Amino acid sequence: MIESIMFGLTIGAILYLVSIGFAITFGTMRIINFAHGSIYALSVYLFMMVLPYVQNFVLALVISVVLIIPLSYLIERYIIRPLYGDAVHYALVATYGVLFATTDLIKWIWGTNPKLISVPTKVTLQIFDVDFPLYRLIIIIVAIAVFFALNLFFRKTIAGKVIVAALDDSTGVRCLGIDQYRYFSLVFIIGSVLAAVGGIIYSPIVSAEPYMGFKFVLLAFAVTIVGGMGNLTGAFYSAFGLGMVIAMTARVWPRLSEMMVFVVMAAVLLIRKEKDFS
Amino acid sequence: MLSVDSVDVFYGHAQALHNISLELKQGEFAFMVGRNGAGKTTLLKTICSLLSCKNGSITFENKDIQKLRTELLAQQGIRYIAQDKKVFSGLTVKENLQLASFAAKVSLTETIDMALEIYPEFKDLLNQKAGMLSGGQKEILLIVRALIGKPKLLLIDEPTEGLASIVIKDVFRLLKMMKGEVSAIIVEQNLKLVSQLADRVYTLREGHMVKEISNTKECAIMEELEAYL
Repeated sequence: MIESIMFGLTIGAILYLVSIGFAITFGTMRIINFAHGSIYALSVYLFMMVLPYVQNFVLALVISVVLIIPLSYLIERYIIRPLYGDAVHYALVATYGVLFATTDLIKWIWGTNPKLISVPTKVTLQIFDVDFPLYRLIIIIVAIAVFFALNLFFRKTIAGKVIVAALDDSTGVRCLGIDQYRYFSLVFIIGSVLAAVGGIIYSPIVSAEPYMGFKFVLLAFAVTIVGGMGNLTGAFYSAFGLGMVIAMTARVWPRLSEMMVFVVMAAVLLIRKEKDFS
Repeated sequence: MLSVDSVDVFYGHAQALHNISLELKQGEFAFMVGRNGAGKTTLLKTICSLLSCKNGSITFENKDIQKLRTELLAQQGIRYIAQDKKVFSGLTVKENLQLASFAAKVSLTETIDMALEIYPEFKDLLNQKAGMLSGGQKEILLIVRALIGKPKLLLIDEPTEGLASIVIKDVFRLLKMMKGEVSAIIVEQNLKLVSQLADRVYTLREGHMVKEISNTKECAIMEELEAYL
């Protein structure tokens, strides 16, 4: 049981890192950004390319994340920005196209076979008499640290406050004379960086394969829906909650573990619909 | 100051405004009255570029402003206050003012002083989440926010809608205080308020401008306006 809880926390931490950018983009710009999955997958493959040269996990992570920033800027600037304010399905189709294109690019450059990345530290800790890998504990700590850092960013900086305000009333922000799109770009890049970090630190736990972006972007979508669209704290609880759902279902029926996330998402949507209706 | 000339606006294929023209001089308060669906909000949103017009022209201080984005117009002094009384509810009252002061490049201290001068009750509410304010306080916060940085033209959509009569008095007091300092086009159904503050009244019906009253004395005759509601 303890093992499952720790596994759930690890998955939850990764889900949070990968989903937060998706949730912010959805909440502020009303854009369902499937290209988020491209960033996630590409960053892992870039990392695999860089790691043998630098022989240092953290340094390779930093370099890969830096390399992914221009790509995320290009996606925001030339694919997403022209679609701000348009119907939600335009961006959905456009970003889905990006996800397809990058998946094919990955297959073309790196092939279709899954690739393994070794864990940077094999040290284990004894938690409640269970051996728990230090690396997974680091992942959980990183996610919690990111949560607090983002909270500070949103509460204490003007850029953060503009985003919080835009989550409430994007028209109101524009009517004050603030060019919110500048801030959206910044937040888009922050979200992409976090997706890249999430993807890279998760890659030693799972294997890297070209379709990993598809799988994770759907999970990020579920986290965003369950957490409440645009609710950044909600996304944190939702990510860890759904991480637990995956871990607990995996104990009983591993094949259904990820499907349960979408069952929970559907249930949450139904409950919300009932509430709204009543 | 503002000139709207023969403007047509469409929602898809449906025409919402037909050949609308209006004029506003500096310091004037123009009110727009009309039934629901008459096109009053559409016109305000078109002036501030939240909607675009198919035909016609909109000029502000002799410059064509049709192609300018809403945020750029706000920087040039045209501020729109929506009907829904939506403040930035996740931020405190002070932070709401802070964003306005940041946008207008005015110091926060100056902004807060101004806000407290206009509405002293904000003193105890500065650190409260704006979402917790009453409807009237939200409307006042929206107007105060829009006033920061000395705008030239306010477009205010139904400022007293849904407010208790005691709160309407506060909004009325604020609008009266603003009169002469800033120009405004205000959509309003409260004819008592219109009759006391209007320099001009435009009446709309089904997207058409049906009457313009530009005589202050005539504006004060409520019975005349009632016919258009």
